[in-house]
Amino acid sequence: MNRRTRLAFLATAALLGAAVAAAVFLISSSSFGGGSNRPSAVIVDQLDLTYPNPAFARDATSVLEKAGFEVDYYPGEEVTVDFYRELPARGYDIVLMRAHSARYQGSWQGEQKDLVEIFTSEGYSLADHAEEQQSGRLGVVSYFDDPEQRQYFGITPEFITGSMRGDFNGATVILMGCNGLSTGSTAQAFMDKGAAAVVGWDEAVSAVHTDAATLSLLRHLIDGDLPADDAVAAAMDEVGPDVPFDSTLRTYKSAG
Amino acid sequence: MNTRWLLRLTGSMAVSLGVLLALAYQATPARAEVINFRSTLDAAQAISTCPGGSPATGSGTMTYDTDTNLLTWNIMFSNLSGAVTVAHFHGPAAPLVDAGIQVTITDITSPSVGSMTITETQETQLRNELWYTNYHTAMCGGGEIRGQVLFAPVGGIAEPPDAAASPLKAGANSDGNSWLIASLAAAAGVAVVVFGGSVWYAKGRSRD
Repeated sequence: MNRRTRLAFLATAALLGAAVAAAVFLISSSSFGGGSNRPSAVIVDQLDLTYPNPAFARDATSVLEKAGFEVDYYPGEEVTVDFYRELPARGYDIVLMRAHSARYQGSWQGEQKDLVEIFTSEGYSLADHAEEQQSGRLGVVSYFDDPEQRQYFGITPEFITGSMRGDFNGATVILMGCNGLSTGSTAQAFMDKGAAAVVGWDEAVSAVHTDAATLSLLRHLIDGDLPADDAVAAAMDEVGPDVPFDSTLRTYKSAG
Repeated sequence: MNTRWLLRLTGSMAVSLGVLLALAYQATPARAEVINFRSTLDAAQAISTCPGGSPATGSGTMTYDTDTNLLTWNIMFSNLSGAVTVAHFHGPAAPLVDAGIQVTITDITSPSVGSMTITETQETQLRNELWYTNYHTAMCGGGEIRGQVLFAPVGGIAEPPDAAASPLKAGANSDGNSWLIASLAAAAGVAVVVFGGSVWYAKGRSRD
């Protein structure tokens, strides 16, 4: 093998090596998860079961990844009581709760309550999580549109403070479902559990509107590097309130 | 000779890999948006075409894919006075106002399941909540039950875990409407739910 042949071999090897390295980089940068010190975000897509919108998950992931975030995605069927229990301990910086939620105002085991339950996809059973049911940490939720009126576990503010393990450690929590901030108890529970900011809707909201507003919020929050308050205001300027439901995205202001 | 061949091979491989990598990096899927709607059907909304009323009710979910312009639906109904003769999406019309046919629902047994590609004009009407579903019968040829097609809220109904054991619970749903759940004849598992004047009947609320 003469000198030119060796040079050609070396060039081939170098090019192949570079190509493989580039491919590995591209593949790793486009996949979920990882174990580095990059900031991380999670999309909890419980809505995926009833109102799937793959474009939202894809676009939100793209915005986050371009800003250097690692993104985990959990489809609806994985959003169980135990999933929520472990959520803070996973250490996410941004928590996107794309989940149904419903407000309850009334008597709850002898006490007057005004709270929001966040949906799980775990079918309700009197026998399961009995202690957490008795302590008011878990309730029962169902969908408007389900003719069979199937019931699922819903997590309450008491679950967030009392049953979730770990700490949100300064995370921004975005409640994409209805009524997240209609009452302060859910947002305050996330704050008590260590969240730095909680964003949510003050009334009911449609799936299409919460998806659009959340994407706008993410862009302002991450690309625009705005604080949560300003990012929410910018998103509302861009997308507007959800007119049919008279609902506005807001940042929770802690009473404490 | 071998060297030239090797250099050509190296060059072509580099170009091919570059093109492939560029394509892999650039390729992004189409940005489809899926819009979810719901429709709650009853005779109260069909008062103009069925003035005698009806105990029939129904509920449906619809999705619209902005990429394919495909509207899909799944609508359940019960207690009609007889077999459905025809069913349609009508519009554009506000609640209680009548309008022409936009899409024919060909599967007229419950659950009605189907899909149809719609036009941009129809999409605009749909996005403005100006369509309604309408089920016609021999008794009410203009429609026995109908329901406005509205954006689906990402809410639901919340209850304490002991709701079924309590005789009466009151609160507010996430639409902001007052609601009432009376566990009537709990043993029979029948509940009556009142949503802002519309009465929904739900049988056999399962606790599985």
